[in-house]
Amino acid sequence: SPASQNDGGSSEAPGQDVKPVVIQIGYENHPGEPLDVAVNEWKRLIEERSNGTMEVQIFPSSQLGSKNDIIDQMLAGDSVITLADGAFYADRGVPDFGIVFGPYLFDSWDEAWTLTESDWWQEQSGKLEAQGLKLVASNWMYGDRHLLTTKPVRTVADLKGMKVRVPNNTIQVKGFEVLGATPTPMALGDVYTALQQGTIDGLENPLPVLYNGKFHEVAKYLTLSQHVKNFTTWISGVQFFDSLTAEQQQILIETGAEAGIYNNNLQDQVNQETLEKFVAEGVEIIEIDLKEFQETAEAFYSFPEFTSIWTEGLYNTVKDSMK
Amino acid sequence: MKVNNKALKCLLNIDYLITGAALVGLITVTFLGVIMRYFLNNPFIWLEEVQIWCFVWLVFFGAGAAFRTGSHVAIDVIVDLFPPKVKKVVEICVYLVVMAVLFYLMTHGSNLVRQMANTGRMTNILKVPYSIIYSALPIGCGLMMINYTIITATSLLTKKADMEGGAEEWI
Amino acid sequence: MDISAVGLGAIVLLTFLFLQVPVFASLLAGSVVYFALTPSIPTQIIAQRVIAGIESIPLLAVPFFICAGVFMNYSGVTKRVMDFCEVVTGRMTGGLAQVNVLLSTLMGGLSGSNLADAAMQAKMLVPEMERKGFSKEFSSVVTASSAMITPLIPPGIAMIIYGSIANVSIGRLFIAGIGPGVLLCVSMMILVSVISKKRGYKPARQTSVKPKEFILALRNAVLPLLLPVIIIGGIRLGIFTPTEAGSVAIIYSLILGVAYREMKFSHVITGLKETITSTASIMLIVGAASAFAWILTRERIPQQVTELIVNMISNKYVFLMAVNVFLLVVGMFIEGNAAMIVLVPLLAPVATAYGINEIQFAMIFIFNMAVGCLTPPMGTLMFVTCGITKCKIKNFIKEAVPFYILLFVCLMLLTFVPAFSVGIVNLLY
Ligand code: NA
Ligand code: NA
Repeated sequence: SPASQNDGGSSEAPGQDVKPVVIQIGYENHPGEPLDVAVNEWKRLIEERSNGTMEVQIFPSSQLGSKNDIIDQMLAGDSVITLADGAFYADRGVPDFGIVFGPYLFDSWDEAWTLTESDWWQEQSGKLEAQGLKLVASNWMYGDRHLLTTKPVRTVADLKGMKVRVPNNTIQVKGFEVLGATPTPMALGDVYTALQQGTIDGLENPLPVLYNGKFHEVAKYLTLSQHVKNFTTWISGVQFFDSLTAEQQQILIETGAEAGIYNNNLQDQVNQETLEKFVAEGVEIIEIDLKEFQETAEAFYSFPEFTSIWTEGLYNTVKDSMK
Repeated sequence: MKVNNKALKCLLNIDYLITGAALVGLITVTFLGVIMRYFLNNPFIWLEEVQIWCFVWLVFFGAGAAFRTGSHVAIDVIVDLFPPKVKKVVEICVYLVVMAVLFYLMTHGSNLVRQMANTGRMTNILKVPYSIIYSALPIGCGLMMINYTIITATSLLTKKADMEGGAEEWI
Repeated sequence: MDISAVGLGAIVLLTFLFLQVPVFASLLAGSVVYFALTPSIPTQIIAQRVIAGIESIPLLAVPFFICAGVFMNYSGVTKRVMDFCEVVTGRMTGGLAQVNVLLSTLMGGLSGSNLADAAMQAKMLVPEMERKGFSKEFSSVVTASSAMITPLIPPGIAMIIYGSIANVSIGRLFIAGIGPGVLLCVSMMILVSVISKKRGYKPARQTSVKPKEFILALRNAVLPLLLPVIIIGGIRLGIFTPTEAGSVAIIYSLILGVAYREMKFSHVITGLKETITSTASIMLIVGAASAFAWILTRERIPQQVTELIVNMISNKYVFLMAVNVFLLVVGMFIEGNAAMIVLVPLLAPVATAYGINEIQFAMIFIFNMAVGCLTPPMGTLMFVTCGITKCKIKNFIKEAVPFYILLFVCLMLLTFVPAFSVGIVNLLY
């Protein structure tokens, strides 16, 4: 799409001290988490590069509202940026995007990054822009999602019938159904007691989330399942993005990518540390035969729930785009 | 004031039908949800979506009825100190303020609904359009404006200042 | 400039609040002023924030526990629990006044609403008390102040709302309420007995209770009294969440109503209607307050308040005392739920900065708001009770002084002795 020049520029006509553009970045993570640290770095970069023409305000811990709320706010034209991923875009009129959250789609992080640079990604971003949402940065790692359970899971057969808590969306629900588990949507805040009392048998998330919730106090088996390579993206509203000058747009995108690298290094480091903490606190770390899980998960990509809304041959297109 | 017209009476109570269904639905799915998850190992994956939908409808469709029963809380101790004539003026001013605020909310609530319709936002699992769920807000504002107008008119005409009394007869 | 928009919004909010504009509309009007003066923020966000304040699974517990409480009143439960209280307090000085306090405490396990409790007992117990020689003022004061215990004993609506805004475990808050609830119950019963001795109010019965009589009364009341055990137990065992516990309570009250053959279909309809209007009015305030709270957040007011307070006050007890004074004043004027939604995001982070336990702080907050219900000018419990018993507010306040002192002492205990709120929670979790 042609980056239209600022249409809100008339306000800076007098050429004197121009009030900086204020951008709000809102997300669900809490202060001190690697992601929050990286956002603070992003803020520093933006304010430094823009020579004071851009100001960033940071709102962690869902202070501005849930992810969906913030997306609605930017669609209404507000100057907010938030974190979201494929599963959300699937509900926002770009169903194909959902596939990036499918189980075992990527064999490595490099494949994920290659995909975000591909023509297919460009095409999807364009569709998202038509829905009013502009991808500002796509290279932020959120982490490999793993499985923490009360009974050891070494093979796909072990997972059969186990109640695993998943976030409340179709892609993640079906992603565990295909592995034979009983996906159980539940608020993360209820999971600890539910694990303790056997209402559920496990949960999945990146390592820091599993550790910070102290779930390993009641679930002693960590299966490094890597079922989703969870990278995430920052979006703003097209309306707001287009109101920025071309230079400001460039600053936003460049610094977003730089802060993304900063984030990824931080995440690698924290993941390593977290794994060591799990070991030190007596959690059994289970390595699995990835191949078995990957093969079992392949059926996911031909579930009618998805094939009916996806572009034909999507799985192959995406697989080709990440090579 | 007695409402003699049967059709009008039905119309005024239709909000109870909708909210009653929403409340009973809410209780039922929540209770069954516990049983399905804990005892039958087969949780409703759509539970939260339906709960939120029922709850939003319950609140906004019920907000007008809450005017009829005088359930909306207000601080009256200061106004009670005023002489009756001033009180009446205050009552009319309060009416105008509330109507203006509700109209504002109704207008922007409609814009929000339009945004939901334009962007096609749906719930994740059952694919219910948010434009349907959120339409309760502008409709609810409209119902509140209608109920509040009738209540205020009744109270000003019958000189019965308290909301509780005059309204119960419709229910 | 945006800050002045917030300031103006706040002024409009308070002005309208005192001029009898409904609480929800005052909060909305304050938000409307802000949005009108801040064109850079799209206006439909106000509508979104109102809805978003309501789109909360934990808050579903509000209609559930209201409904359960209303159904209990129709199911014949109250009468049975009252008979039980009479047997327990039988020979104590102050008779029916003791029944009144104990009944509120036990009914607390069945209902989350103090107003419903006060209204019911003002209708059922006060006339009886007057017949037995208690003064109208004393009976009203005992009814209103003991109703404060009801929401402290789990379940309680204030805890559900607090937990959902501050992200504190509602299950733990429920348990934390037991300590202060029982403390209030015991100390009020002592106070009632002291006053009754002085005035010569007689025990409910002259003869001592026979064991057989006690067992019969207990057997009649045992099913209702099991409900709090089911609720806490079910939450603790992970069978259901605090929200879902509400739906369990409703089904349980329906079963009791049918079992006791006292509940009719028309009661169910009336109960549903009451639940709908109460829920709508509470949740509309919640939604409007969350729109205003969003504005404060967006203007970074909480961060500034935290900085200001932390720089000004170095000691956590000085902070807690300042909070107590502030909240007592706020509680006197502003509806508790609205105050909570606007102020918790401001104050809870500060409390955390001082290293105050989040559960203890929650209980201090909730207790202050509860006291506000008993004091003029906006004492909803006082109004509801006096409205039914036809007691003059002036006389009510005079009679309530010893109870105010008692509440103040309890508040100080809560403030300075964390064990009162956190003790049982630590024991159970
Ligand atoms: Na009582
Ligand atoms: Na209670």
